[in-house]
Parts: sequence; C-alpha cells; structure tokens
Amino acid sequence: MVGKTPFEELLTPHLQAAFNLAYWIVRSREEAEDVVQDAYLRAFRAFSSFRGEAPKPWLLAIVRNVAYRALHNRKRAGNVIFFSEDLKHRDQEVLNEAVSAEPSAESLLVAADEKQQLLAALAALSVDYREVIVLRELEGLTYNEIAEAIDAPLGTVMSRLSRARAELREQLARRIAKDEPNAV
Amino acid sequence: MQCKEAHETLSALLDHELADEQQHAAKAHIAGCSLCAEVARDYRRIGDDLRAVARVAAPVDLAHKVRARLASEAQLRQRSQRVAWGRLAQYAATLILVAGLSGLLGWQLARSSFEQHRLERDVVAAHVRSLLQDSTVQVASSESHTVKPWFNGRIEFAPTVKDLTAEGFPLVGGRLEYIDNRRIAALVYKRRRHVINVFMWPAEGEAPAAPKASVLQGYNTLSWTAGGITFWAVSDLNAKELADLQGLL
Repeated sequence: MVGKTPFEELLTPHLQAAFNLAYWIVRSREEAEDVVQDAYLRAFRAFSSFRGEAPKPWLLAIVRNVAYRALHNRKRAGNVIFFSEDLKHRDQEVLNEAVSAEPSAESLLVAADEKQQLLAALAALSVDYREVIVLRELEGLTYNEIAEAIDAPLGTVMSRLSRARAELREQLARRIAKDEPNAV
Repeated sequence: MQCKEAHETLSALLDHELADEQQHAAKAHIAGCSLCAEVARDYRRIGDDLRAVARVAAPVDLAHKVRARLASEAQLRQRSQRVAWGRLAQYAATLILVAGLSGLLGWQLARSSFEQHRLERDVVAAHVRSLLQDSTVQVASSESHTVKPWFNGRIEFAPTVKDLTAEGFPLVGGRLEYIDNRRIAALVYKRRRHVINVFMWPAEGEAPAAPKASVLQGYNTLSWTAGGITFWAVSDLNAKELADLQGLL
C-alpha cells in the first residue's frame, strides 16, 4: 500500500487543481480523469527526481504535458478512426458538461445565463490562453509558478495573460451584445 | 504613461506582479483615465466570476482511483523484483533437470516458457510500434463485415472480428502483423482513450488454454487459445477491463 508517504502528502492536496486544469485543456470530464490518473502515475515514477521545490506547479506541469498529449492523440485519431458523426456534437457536449459541473455556493450569485456566457467565452479561448487564465484566476499561481507549469519565460507569461484577459473580455462583450440586441 | 502601455501592464498590476516603479506609474495612469479604469474593473470582475463558476469539481472517487493505481504500481515493482529472482531459480532448476535426467519433459517446459516470453515481447513490441504509426490500422471501420473480408487472401485463416461498440469496446479496424515468422491478424479496439491490439493466429494443434495475464513494460497482456486460434491482447488498459474484452471475444 501507499501509506502517508511524502508523495501522497505533497500531491493529494492538489488533486482538485490537477483535475480542473486537465478539464480545461481536454474539455471532457472522462478524459480529464484519465489524464489525472496518468499524470499522478508519472509524477510517482519521477518523484525521486523531485527536489523539494513547490509541488503544485511541478505537478501541474506534468498534468499539462499528459493533457496535451491526449489532445494531440485525439486530433491524430480523428483523422483516421472517427467518423464525423462522432465529433459533431462534441462542442455542445462540452458546454453542457461545463454548465452541469457542480456549482459552488457563490455561483448562485451569478445568473445562470451569465454563467453560461462566461463558460462559453472561456471555452472559446485558444488553449494556450485558456490555460494561463485557469492557472492564474482559478488556481492562484504566481507568474513564476505559471512559468514553471507551462515551461515558458516569465515575460511570455506576463504578455500571454494580458492578451488572454483582453480576448476574454472581448469575447464576453460580443456574447452579451449578441444576446441583447436592443441594449446600447 | 500612455493608454497603450497601461493596457499592457494592467493585467500584471492586478496580479501584483509589477516592480514598484511601474506599479506607481500604472496606478497614476488609471486614476486619471476612466477608460483604463473600466478595463481594470472588468478584468477584476471576470476573475471573481470565474472563481465563482468555472472551477470543475473532480469526481469524488478520483482520489481513490489514483491511490489504487499508485498502489498497484508499487506492488508491481516489488513483484517484478521477486519474479526476476523466481525466474532465475526456475531456469536453474530446468538446467539441472536437463543435465541430470536429460529429461525431455524439462526441456519442453523450458522451451514453452521461453516461447511464451518471446511471444509476449514480440506482441508488446508490435503494439508499441502500432502506436508510433499515424494510424494503428490498415482497414479502418467499426463494421465487422468490412474488416473481416479484408483479411481474405492476406492470411490463411479467418480471424475473429466483433463489433463491440455496445459493450464499450468500439472496433477501430484491422491490419497485418508479422510475428513468429508468419503473417497474422491484428484487430484494434478502443476503450475510452486506450488502444487495444488483439493479435491472433492458428493454434496449430494446441489445446484450448485459459487466459493468462502478464505485464511487460507497463503494458497488460492477456493470452488464450480458443476455437483453434491463439489470441494475444495488449493494451495500457487495466487488467480487469482487458479481461472483460476477452470474455466478449
């Protein structure tokens, strides 16, 4: 059995963060589950090389790598294996999944419609914008930690976050404008 | 500071990631620019809203699943060390038997176990190789009526092909493989993201054999003989679900 090992003590507190990041990269709960399991197995194997730096960005970097590989495999498989019907309803499914995700207490404060707009806007971002938003806004990582998690220089983190926020704000404004054609 | 410059530093300002000097300049600009102040307000609000609604909760049993996989991984490591010693002892015993009794039986036993290991290595290599290709299959179809006839004239037996989509093992297709000096059939099934290769060839007089599971390089394998055909299933799928597939074939 794996008891209360250092591995477990360091990494189980971040399971929720790992799942959240995986979900927002692959956008499927089922696949995100597989990604998290694979990532923890990989982390476990690589744990001897872990030198006691911050465990969260270290783990999230692994989760991100596994998630990207899953995305890549899906794209490649899509060329040969899937017929178009299998993928047709994918985007709607993703939206439904995100919307039906467990609501937190605060979410009641945001109207259901607004919530849907926000999730749709986040889902519409390109994955490299989406991941920095998730890491910063949802997981509260510092720029240094984000740089480690996405394996990019600090300056890239700063500019990418800035552009991602601008893009997200625009997306949202467009969606709301489309929703209320009479509003000025 | 100009608006354009302020825009670029706004995001870092909200995250408290600016150096003191830049921070003062950015704050001073926002204090006097209603446009930038509005953008800053929007960013802050979007952040708050995201925190309220966009977190996707992990399934309650995920921690348990992760722990179970880690535990089996740890066990696997211990076992493979034990097995290594066990195997050594087994070979030594076989050697003594051969030398001492010139026992034909002992020789045959060693050969079949060696054969089994060689086949296991070959099928796992074939599985990994198939994953390195752009496509795991030469004929891509979930229709057994499309895949099965494709093998006509390519190999000397009729492979077992089933569409198990309803059971959660959709058929991806089939291809030819070369194992043990002959052409054999490889059928590819999927389970979620996991690719499963099922290799088959004529059993050549071997008696039906119950499924035998093993693990090589982290891949689960399952071999059995039924209806005159020897089957090898290889996947990174867990052993239990692999056994489920065996039951369906």
